[in-house]
Amino acid sequence: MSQPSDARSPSRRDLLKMIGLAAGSTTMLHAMSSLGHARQSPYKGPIDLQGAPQGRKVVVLGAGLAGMCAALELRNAGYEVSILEYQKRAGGRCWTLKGGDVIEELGGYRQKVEFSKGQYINIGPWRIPHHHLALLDYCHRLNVPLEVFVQENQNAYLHSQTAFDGKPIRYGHAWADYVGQITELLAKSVNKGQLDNALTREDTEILLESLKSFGILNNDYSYEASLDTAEYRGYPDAGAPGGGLYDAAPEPSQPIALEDLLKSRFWEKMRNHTTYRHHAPMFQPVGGMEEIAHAFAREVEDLITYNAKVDRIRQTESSVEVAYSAADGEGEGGVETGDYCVCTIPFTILSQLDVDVSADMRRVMRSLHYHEAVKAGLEMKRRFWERDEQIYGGITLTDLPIAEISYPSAEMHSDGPGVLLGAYVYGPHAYAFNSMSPEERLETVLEQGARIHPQYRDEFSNGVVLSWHRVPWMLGCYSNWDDRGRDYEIAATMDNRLVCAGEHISYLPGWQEGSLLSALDAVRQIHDRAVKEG
Amino acid sequence: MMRFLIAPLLLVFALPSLAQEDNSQVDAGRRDLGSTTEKFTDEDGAELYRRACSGCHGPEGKGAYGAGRYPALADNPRLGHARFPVNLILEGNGAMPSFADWLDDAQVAAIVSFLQTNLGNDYDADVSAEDVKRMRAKFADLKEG
Ligand SMILES: Cc1cc2nc3c(=O)[nH]c(=O)nc-3n(C[C@H](O)[C@H](O)[C@H](O)COP(=O)(O)OP(=O)(O)OC[C@H]3O[C@@H](n4cnc5c(N)ncnc54)[C@H](O)[C@@H]3O)c2cc1C
Ligand code: HEC
Repeated sequence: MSQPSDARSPSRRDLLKMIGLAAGSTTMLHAMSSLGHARQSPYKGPIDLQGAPQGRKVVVLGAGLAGMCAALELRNAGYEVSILEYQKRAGGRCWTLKGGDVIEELGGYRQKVEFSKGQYINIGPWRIPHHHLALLDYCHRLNVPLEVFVQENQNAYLHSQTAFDGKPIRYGHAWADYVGQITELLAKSVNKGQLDNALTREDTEILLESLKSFGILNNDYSYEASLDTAEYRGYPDAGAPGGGLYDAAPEPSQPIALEDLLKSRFWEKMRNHTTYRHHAPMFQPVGGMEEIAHAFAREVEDLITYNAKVDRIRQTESSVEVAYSAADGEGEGGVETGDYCVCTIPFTILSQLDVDVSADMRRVMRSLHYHEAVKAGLEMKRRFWERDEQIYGGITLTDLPIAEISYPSAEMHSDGPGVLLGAYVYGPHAYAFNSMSPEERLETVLEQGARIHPQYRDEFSNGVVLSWHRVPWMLGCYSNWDDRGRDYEIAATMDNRLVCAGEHISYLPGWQEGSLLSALDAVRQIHDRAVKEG
Repeated sequence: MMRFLIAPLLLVFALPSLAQEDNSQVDAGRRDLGSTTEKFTDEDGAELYRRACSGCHGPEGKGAYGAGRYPALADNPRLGHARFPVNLILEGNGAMPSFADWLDDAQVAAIVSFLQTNLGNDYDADVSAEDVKRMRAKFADLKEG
């Protein structure tokens, strides 16, 4: 990109094209990384395990994405594999709630999901960055169709209880006006010569030109109501560009004063959509995130024993022995024996089990804490956010405890109902929700959301609010490493014949990509050991 | 305060089968949850227990059991000395998160005193905010070392 083109040798792109044509696309992928394209993932294409010794068996604990991915690759490589799973479903946290589903919570509450046919809420993972290459590759290989997940929507809202009389403000208005006015301030101070020492005269001129263009400033370097700024922030309600004779000519809209924007603290939220993890486009599987789990399960379901609550893991010099009981208290338990074990049970739970691991590993398991999170799915009879407010997908951010309202990216513009993400709560508020009954949680979520969308009153039909700390097979949301250091290495390294994998054994905590990359690394560690042991 | 949702919802949720646990007394739909994004705001030990702890350990402290467990705090012999619960609250352990950033010394002392004298526990409430402050510094040191 920054290299000057050289007429004598082929350009890098030409070279890539040639390699791509001559060989499969995997070669292209490898070539791209060696030629210095920064690929934002350590994933280098499907894992290739050659030379597995005959008759070696691996016991996999947990049938979330990490467990199923490990099982799939190990079986492909020639290992015998079995999976023990506490639930009566596969997928773990990759979980989509649909009408008819029942949630049994720790503490005894039960929620029945009443959504209409075809409606769902992704109550755990809900969005996939375009740089999560392993996850995207598995979606490709396992035929999981994806669609765009709208993360940033300029027409969604920013909302503060104390600013603008508690009325929501369109994200795009706040954004354009904030950028416009801080640019104006900067341009005016540059123009007064206050930055002369830092910049050459020529650079100062370019800077002024750029601030003017970036902030939509006029010739006096002011950001003000004009048809130019309206082109960016939008038009007044009764002044949008029209056709024909009446009310057709557009009018400028009035920017929000900088003081008000500063006091609203909306700027705290304005980089939210621009973190690398949330860059557009993001994706979601058609029909719900759990489609990914279903796709893995289609490959490995024959290996899974459901309703198997792992209680104890014994390791000897040559084997691993896992004792389990029936999770629902009915039916038989058993003992599963293998040469090696991939354990994807979250540390919240594993740290309470009777497990033969080093003292170091045990200490690390107990010192890793998990985040809290509460998510709500609210079915509305009518997609009022689309019809009344022209919000198609995206996220409204608020300083109310519910923190977010997200509008469905699926079935946009349909006449049917839609399910909103009505809350995504973390921090102390999440513990307050965690302590409520489901009906109290729901009422609290509705009461808060109605402050932003008064239509909630008439349109709500049914809903579910899940606190991840009440999920019997999780006891939390996702891992919260303060400082990985040596402890992380201990957790990620094979301990005798057992290797841990999952979201918590990654630098991508709380992302499915982390589960898969960790599973692939665990598989590699087991394979290396098995080959060595013969 | 807006209360418009309560009537229709109660009709839907009054079914006894739904709530098998005693209803906590949180005001449904109440905007003040006793929390901010940074901390818990109550001062009373019972209130703090209800908001911060009862979701896991249960309103009556009976604990909860699944693939893992939240231990019972009711009739718990380990609550006799404040150092043990103070340590868990500040440092966490396994699935018990640390509350160090969200509770100040007086709040920790209030919760521990509540636990020591309620939920079937009958000990002397033997901890002050000053004690918690000292323990907080000590635990932090131990972690550094
Ligand atoms: C609220 C929330 C939002 C998220 N958002 C996103 C997102 O937008 N995008 C994204 O990519 N990721 C997201 N994630 C993260 C993603 O869900 C996880 O990283 C991933 O699903 C974890 O997979 P895993 O296989 O590592 O663990 P899990 O899926 O948790 O699998 C562990 C399995 O072990 C089983 N188990 C537990 N105890 C036992 C036992 N004793 N015996 C037998 N089995 C047991 C469990 O039932 C479970 O099936 C989110 C997660 C949450 C909770
Ligand atoms: C996220 C759920 C959760 C919350 C919320 C929680 N705890 Fe815990 N607590 C646990 C778990 C899990 C353990 C067991 C830890 C272990 O493995 O030893 C525990 C253990 C304890 C113990 C030790 C019990 C024993 O006999 O070993 C005490 C005391 C305790 N918690 C107090 C509290 C207090 C006080 C609060 C509120 C400030 C609180 N907990 C909030 C999950 C929680």
